[in-house]
Amino acid sequence: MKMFLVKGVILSVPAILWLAIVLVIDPFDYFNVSHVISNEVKRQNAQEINELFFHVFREANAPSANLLIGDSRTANLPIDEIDKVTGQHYSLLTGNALKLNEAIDLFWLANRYRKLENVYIGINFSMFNQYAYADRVKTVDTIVANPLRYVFNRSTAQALFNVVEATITQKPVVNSVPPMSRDDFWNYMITTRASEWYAKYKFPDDVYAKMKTMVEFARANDINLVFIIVPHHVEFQNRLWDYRLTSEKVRFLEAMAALNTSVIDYDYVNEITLDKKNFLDPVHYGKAAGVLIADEVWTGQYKIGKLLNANYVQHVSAKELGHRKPDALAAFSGGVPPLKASLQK
Amino acid sequence: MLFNSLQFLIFFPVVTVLYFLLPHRFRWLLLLVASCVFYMAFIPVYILILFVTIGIDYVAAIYIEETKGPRRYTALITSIVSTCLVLFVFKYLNFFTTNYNALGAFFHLNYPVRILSIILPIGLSFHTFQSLSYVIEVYKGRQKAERHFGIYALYVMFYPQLVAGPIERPQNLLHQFYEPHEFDYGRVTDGLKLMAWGLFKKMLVADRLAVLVNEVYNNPTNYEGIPLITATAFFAVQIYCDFSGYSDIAIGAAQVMGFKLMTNFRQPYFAESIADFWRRWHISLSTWFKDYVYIPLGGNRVSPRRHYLNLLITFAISGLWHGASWTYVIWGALHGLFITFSGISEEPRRRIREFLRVDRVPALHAFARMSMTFVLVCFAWVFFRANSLTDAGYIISHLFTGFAQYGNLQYVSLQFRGIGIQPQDLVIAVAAMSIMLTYDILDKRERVWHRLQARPLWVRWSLYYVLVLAILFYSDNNVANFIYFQF
Repeated sequence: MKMFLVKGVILSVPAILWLAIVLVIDPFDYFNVSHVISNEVKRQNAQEINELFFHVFREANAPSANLLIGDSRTANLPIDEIDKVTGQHYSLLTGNALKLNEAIDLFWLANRYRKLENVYIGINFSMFNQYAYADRVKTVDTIVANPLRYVFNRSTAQALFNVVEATITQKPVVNSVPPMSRDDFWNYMITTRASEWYAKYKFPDDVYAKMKTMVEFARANDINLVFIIVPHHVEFQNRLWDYRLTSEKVRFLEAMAALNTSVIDYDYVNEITLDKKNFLDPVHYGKAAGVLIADEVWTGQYKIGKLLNANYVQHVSAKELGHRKPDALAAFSGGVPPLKASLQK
Repeated sequence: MLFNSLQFLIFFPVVTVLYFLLPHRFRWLLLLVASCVFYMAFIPVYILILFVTIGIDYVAAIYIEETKGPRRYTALITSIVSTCLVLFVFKYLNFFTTNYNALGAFFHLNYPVRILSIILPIGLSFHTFQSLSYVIEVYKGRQKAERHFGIYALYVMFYPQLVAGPIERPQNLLHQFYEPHEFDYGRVTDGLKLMAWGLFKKMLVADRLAVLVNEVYNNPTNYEGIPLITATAFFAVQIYCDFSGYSDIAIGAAQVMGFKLMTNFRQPYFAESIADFWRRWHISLSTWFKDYVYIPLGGNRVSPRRHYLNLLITFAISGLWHGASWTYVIWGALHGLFITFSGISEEPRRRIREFLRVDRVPALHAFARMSMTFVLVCFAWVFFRANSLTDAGYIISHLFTGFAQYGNLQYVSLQFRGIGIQPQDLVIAVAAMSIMLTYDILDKRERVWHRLQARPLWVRWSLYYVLVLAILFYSDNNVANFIYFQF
């Protein structure tokens, strides 16, 4: 018995040491008791490892009534600008490559933490696909309930080593810039990413039913729930024709309009989507576009954003179902500059 | 309470330490209380059902032992019927009602019976069978009736094997509760190693593969061809790792306290025939059916026709035991058919073997038999896992759709879109599967843990650390139920 206990203790020493290290470094502020590492270093080096961990654990520690939920495209909305415009505190609840079903899960998760007031969900047709599916929120929720799962977790370990290294070297360890030129990455997104998103499509009946339940709940509980259809550059929008998904896009808009909640569309031909300068890559708008969108959405004064309703959708349907070519987009949107020659191919 | 949960991580050491600290005469009480707590972690009120069946069988067995003549038989039948009635109400009533209603609707007889909203008590089929085996063994005179109610209740409720077996025989387990178990370093560490290995199989392999399998089998019409084949093959591995992982944890947990439970799995996918598969898969159940259904039906000591019928009946009932659905019945019947066909075709197959001279390369012949058995088992698993017969029909009819394009990587990758599993998780699952396969191959020759015992301390400890770290850092974070808990 004695030998067993001695060996047991020796065997557990590394685990106890690891637990202490995680408690002190706490890369995702799960325990939120130690602040040995600065917030900025954690943001730069841990967030990239697991964005969901980063935001959800913070939300669990200090729940906010006002949320922005979505993927990396939604994360590009300037949260400081929104706080300034509204005079309220907003929190990001975003995750890399977050799926629509996960965005809904996040809504329910946040709703458990406190009574919500304003929730803005970033969405795009690319997320509205039966095959765009993952189930990571359940995992994060499990970890919130079980500290040991956080301590013995690969993301925690990786983020911990990153923040320690970044603190010692005084340099960010994580580099989110793609290892290729902007043009090459642009083409990569237009070809490979578009194929990943659009080559296999099915209307997401289950997820749409969950969206309806969420909207009804928000209405019944006086939560201001708004969907923002985040913009893609027109070159990426044009890929819908290549994958014969224009009618599905219209169906998506119809479904969104039928939710009977505020839906603001930026993903059509407009001043933002026509100009490459407004984008980091074909699907991620830059800072200036983010500020513009934030100003419009949170002041309610739309110049580019279109409030989705049946008339608007009908208008889009008439144009998009009419086998129009991408260059006819300009005629549809009206008032925007003509498409560049390169886009008319 | 799940073996892979935080609660069990606290529950198990506390119970084990108390077990060794308490004097022997109180240990049964500790184990009984612990078993009640373990069971009540699921649906507390259902423990009353368990105690009702325990009470009936306890009294019936004593009555059987003390009585002579036809009353013994009456007592046996009463006990069997009442125990099975509980199983029928909770597990099969809705199945029969649904089928009755469907049949009525087909013949335009509109007298539908209401479907009850019942949750199946966890592990009901397992402890029902364990109780039945006790009463039958007492009736046959091979086991003395247990007079100590607490010990008998513990035999049915012993927490390591309460919810998913192994289904123990009274001759193997009951006497162990009377034996004083001292703390034995070797036995305790062996038990802990077995538990760790079970957790590895469950959390690294089964739970990761479950993501892909669940997505495909819950939405089969979204997929065709390769994803369906992959999901089916993965399910074969998933269910093996899930159930044998559970059995390893159960056997290991019992072993730590000094109890020896029966072996439940012996590398089933190395089987060279379906009959061989059933000698290696869920051994405690297959031997139960052999002893209490197949042999009483006449076994193989009857005409060939009757023998094959006995096989089909036994396997169909075995299917129904797993779940109240036609998919399970067909799964069981398919295994019966495979064994029947194997028996019928033995002579022609022998002639073909001789003609092809395949016996000259025994290893190749064994591999071919093993592969064929695996394919047949996988085919039957489709019915076991499918949510309905319609789904099973779709999956089977679309397994080879687009076969001509299987060489086209772009096509194959497109088929896997939206399958829900992250590439890195798939890599972990495949790596863990390879480790498990290596373990099984090595274990076939000599027990891996015994072999390891001869290695230097640093090798052993490094391996223990790797195993524990793998479980901690690479397991799926979601605590998933064991598949066999639903039975």
